[in-house]
Amino acid sequence: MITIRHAYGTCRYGQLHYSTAQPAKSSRSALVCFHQSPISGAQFTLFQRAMATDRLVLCPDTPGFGGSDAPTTMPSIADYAAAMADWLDGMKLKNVDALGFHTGTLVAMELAILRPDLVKRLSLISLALFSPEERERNRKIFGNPRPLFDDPDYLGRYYRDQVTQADPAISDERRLELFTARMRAGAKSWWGPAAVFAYDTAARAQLVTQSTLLLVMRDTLADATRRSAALFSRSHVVERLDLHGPTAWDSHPAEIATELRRSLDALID
Amino acid sequence: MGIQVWRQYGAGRYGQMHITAAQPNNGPGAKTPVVCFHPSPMSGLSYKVFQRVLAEDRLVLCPDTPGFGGSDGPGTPVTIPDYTAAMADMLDGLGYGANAKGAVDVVGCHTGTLICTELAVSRPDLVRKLAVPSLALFTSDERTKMKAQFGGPQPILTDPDFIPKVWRTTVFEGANETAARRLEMFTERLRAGTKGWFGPEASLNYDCESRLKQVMQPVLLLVLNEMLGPNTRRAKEIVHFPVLVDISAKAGHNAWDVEASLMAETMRAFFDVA
Repeated sequence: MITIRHAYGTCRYGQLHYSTAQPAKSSRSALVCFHQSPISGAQFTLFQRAMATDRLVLCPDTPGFGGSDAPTTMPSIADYAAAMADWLDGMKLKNVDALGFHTGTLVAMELAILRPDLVKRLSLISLALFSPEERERNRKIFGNPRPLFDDPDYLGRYYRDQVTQADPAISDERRLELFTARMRAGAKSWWGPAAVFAYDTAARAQLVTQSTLLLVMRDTLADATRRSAALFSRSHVVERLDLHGPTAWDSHPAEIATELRRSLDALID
Repeated sequence: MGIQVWRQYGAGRYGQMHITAAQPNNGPGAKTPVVCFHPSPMSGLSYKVFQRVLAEDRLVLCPDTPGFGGSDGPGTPVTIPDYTAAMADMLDGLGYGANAKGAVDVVGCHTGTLICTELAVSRPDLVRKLAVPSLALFTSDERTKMKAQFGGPQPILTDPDFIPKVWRTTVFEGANETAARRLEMFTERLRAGTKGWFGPEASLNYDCESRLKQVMQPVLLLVLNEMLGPNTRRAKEIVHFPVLVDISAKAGHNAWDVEASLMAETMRAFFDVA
């Protein structure tokens, strides 16, 4: 049985909370998983346990999310990536594999560009790649504060969408846990999405030199992930449309771990 | 001079224990450290404002009770002695107690007052003095009635309106503290999940009176203008070495946030007298 442990590291914004899981012995590269916003590293709990049977798996909370201290002003994806580099440097880790989902894909690839000495291989699942028009449209919808204190019905609707009427593929206890993780980002939870929609994914992807696995699951970013293959210098696309992106981390964690193990370990460093 | 605040993990019998620590920037000084045990279903974050004031001249530790905040929890309901034993594990791990760094002073609120009481009785080497505003002291009859009203699981997942109602009453319509602080505490409450009732249940199963009679350390009974004010006052007849201070004219249930300086000064006066 793999045990998950929690700890704090440090980064430029203060303490950085992360969870860690590992087998008794492993010679494989550590895998660092960057989450979607406004969730936290807790998004990967089930997957982390499944993946950590043969390697160290670390799931940090992005600054301002989960248990990590927040920046005082709105950060960019490059700021988040730099904070993650601070933390990994503090851990004295090198040559890790970086995995990202939605917002986390951008943190992972920016870290790969910023610190090629730290990141050996990339796994990007549901890459946040948008055309300029899509970015502007999404920024207006998601890149603004939630009406937490202005709309008396907001929380009720959000709770219904995320917990009571959410996809039953995830247990209700777990949906509550994920809802709580979402709420922990507080009134500044929109900083994550705002950073995403200010980031030029297409331009930055062309600067990535590492082998990059693009895992296409069934979700709104499937087409974007697929078409991004041409942007990366060393990409490898794996189609897994049988896996539903928003729920698969919880409903099929072992299947994702098996797929990643097979695909990631087949990539040439 | 300022203070530094950080979070860390310790170890208890149910797994990892999450702790928020604060002390002066230039070190903890010579005063006895204070450990604050929170009401349930909250976490050590309940003391955020108070902790920063009290930590101006000493180390102040605010652990999350197992199953609350960031601490791993038991899978089934436990008792106040169980929670207390986990806290003793954590304090032992940090080097407190006999033949080590010595005893600490303890502070509690609601459920936390019972952990203070039990720790003082079961591990007197760990506790020098107790400050218990809002002491959860109930007679057997009171406990039976309260259990009927507040005991057992809450309909968190069975009543779709339960959490939204909590939000409306504690955050949206709340008038005390800032909106950001109300939101923070609402979220902290959520972190206990469907097992948040374990804390209140343990409190209502605990015979506080008989254990209070065994406390041999000095006890500050700090009376606030809130539901447990009369209960706290009543304890004066039970405790061996009570110091009763009534600040109910100035401080109510939210004193930890809005009268943090008064709370800290009152406790300093108690803790620091020889």
